[in-house]
Amino acid sequence: MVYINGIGSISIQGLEKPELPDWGKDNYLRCSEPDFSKYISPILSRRMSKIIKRSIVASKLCLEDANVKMPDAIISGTGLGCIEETEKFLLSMIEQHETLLQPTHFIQSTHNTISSQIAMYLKCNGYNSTYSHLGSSFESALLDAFLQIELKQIKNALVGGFDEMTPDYKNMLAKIGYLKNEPFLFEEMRNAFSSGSVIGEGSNCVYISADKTDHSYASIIDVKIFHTPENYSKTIDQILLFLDKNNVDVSEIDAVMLGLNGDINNDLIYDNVYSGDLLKPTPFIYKHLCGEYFTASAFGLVMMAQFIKNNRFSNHFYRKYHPTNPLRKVLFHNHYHNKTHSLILLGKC
Amino acid sequence: MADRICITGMGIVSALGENKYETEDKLLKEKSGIGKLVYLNSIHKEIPVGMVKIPDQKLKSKVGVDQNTIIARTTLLGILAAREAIIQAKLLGAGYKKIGFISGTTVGGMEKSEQYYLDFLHNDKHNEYISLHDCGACTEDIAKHLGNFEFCTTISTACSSAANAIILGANMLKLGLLDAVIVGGSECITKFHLNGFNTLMILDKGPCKPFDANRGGITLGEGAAYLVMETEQNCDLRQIKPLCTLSGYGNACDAFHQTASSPDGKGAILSMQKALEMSGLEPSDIGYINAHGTGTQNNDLSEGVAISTLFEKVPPISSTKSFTGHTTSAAGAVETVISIIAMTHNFLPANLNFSEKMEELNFEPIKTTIKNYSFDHFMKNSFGFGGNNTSLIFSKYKNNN
Repeated sequence: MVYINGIGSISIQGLEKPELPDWGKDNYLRCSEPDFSKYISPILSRRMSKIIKRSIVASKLCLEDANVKMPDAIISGTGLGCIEETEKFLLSMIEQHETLLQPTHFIQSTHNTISSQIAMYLKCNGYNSTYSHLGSSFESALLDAFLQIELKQIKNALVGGFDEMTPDYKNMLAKIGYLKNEPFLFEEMRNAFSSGSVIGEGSNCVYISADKTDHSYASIIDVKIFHTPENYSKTIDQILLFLDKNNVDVSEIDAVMLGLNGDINNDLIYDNVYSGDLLKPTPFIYKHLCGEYFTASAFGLVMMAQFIKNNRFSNHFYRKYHPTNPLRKVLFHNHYHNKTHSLILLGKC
Repeated sequence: MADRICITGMGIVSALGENKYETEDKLLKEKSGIGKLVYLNSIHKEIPVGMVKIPDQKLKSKVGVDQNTIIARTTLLGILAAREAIIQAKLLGAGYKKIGFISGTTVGGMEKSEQYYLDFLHNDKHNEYISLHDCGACTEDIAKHLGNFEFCTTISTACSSAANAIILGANMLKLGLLDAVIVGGSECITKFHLNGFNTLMILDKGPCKPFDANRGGITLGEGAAYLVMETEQNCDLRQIKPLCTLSGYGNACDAFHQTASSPDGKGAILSMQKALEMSGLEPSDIGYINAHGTGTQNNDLSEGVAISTLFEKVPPISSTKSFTGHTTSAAGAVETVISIIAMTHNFLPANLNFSEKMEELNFEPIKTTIKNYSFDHFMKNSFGFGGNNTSLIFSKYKNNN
């Protein structure tokens, strides 16, 4: 078991409490950015791309929240890495026929730039890694940290989910059906009736530790990622096995935080898993507040950690009805095209 | 004592050939795979590279994929290497329910994106390639062609990706989350990173000369390699003899510069120290170091200084990138497989193209392949952009019972 002792978030929500965003006809929103000069000196930030600035500030907010200066490890998940810099280098390479290229965009383009820039900023020589696996990139990073703490290789870690979404990449996703054609309605989160989702971005992180503090938000009892279940009942089996391994009865789960994104193909999976008599915890949703992107679940986890700690939540997060019990145990479930599923079992401290 | 992590199968494809046997043959004959740039429509034909000498169409037939399949070269290389590892480990008959697949890559489907990017932006001609772009898509594709996996993820720490995949896999085995795990990496050469390294002016005009006083930089390569790892207990149960064991690993961040290593090799020292500590071995126990040795001024100096600091007497050392080129995200696994071949067949692979000792260092690399040389433990260094340093230690399998 580990504890979430700090959180940091830069999302389309800004730093205030979550509001229902106006997705507009593009079904696409970008991060609401703080004044970076309050956090990073202009000399440093001049050379940093957007995602680097956001991720460093989210990390800084997270460590300050945890009252920690230096983590044992920095582990990131990012589905697309530094896509803006990648696009810049790619486009100039094509347009200039491989001549007169500047190295700056290439240097900043690799996925691990984020984790290593955070390490450089903090001067952290500890374990450093980056996962880039579609919709389970953040959960992979969290699992890595969780296992290392269990094996006593580290005591704590800064774990982040970092993604940016450029207009060009958004247009590419629209071409392959990832975006809704019609303006997004909030009601679609509760019961999706068309394909495609809304696209966002964000830098969200948690500081997790083997040690509980007075400030701890929630405990992470266990993390599991499983791959390509053949059918719904196999998914249910995996969930039950996971709960059983942790000696938690289904009836003890007060709520489930689901990765519904308004795409009927995506959401049907959850509906089928959580429709029977067996699994009926109160469903929470979050992706309409941050947008769908590869590491959106990091935003969801940051939100749920606060709900568990404060036992207060905005009604924007309800799917059907609000929970009657205080949140003592919560199951966090996210999947990507039914290929990769992730489960995080959270508990009240 | 905790269950040991054993390697029961391995597969490799690189400029040296499409399997372990071709690789070993070339290592023993000191035949480098570095040559001309082919299959890639780049203006930089003058830059030598270590290409896998099989075009996509042939790779497709080899791995049994229909010629019309939309698939990245990184994926094809990955399937070929992983399949060799699975067959050697007899994994299909093992009766395992929980097998993991952890792969390292950074370019992912970039080799297709760079061909069709203008189409992605301006028309609908090649939309089918859009979803191949990211790293995870390649791993999923490799996994799909290999079988059913309980767990699947992708690590992207640039040139240390595959080495870090080995670490996660070992941790999952130690906690009993998987019965066996396939770990490694895959990466094909793209115009994107060929041009990227070229703009940094760190590509050698000739074949790379790691640890040479007159080294001129990296020679890029491509390839894939995977190991099958499982616990000793599982090996005993299904009576398969391990090839070797993974006895230690360490990951540390140099936290110095995005593309350069620190002059004192701080991150490298830390990762090597951590690996030694976990293995319970002394520096003097290490019989061979397969260095990261990229051939750049900066890396070889920094890594060399770090090794000299940690090892009172520097063991035989070589960078086999002089054979394969720098296979970037796959390098940690490609060079681990090369070193395991060397350890299990008792030879030391050469560091080709070396002629003049670096003034700053107190050691020289192995100049020619040394046959009939036995060693029990080797260290593999794998360092990436951003100071992502990883060191691994593998040991000859000795039955303790």
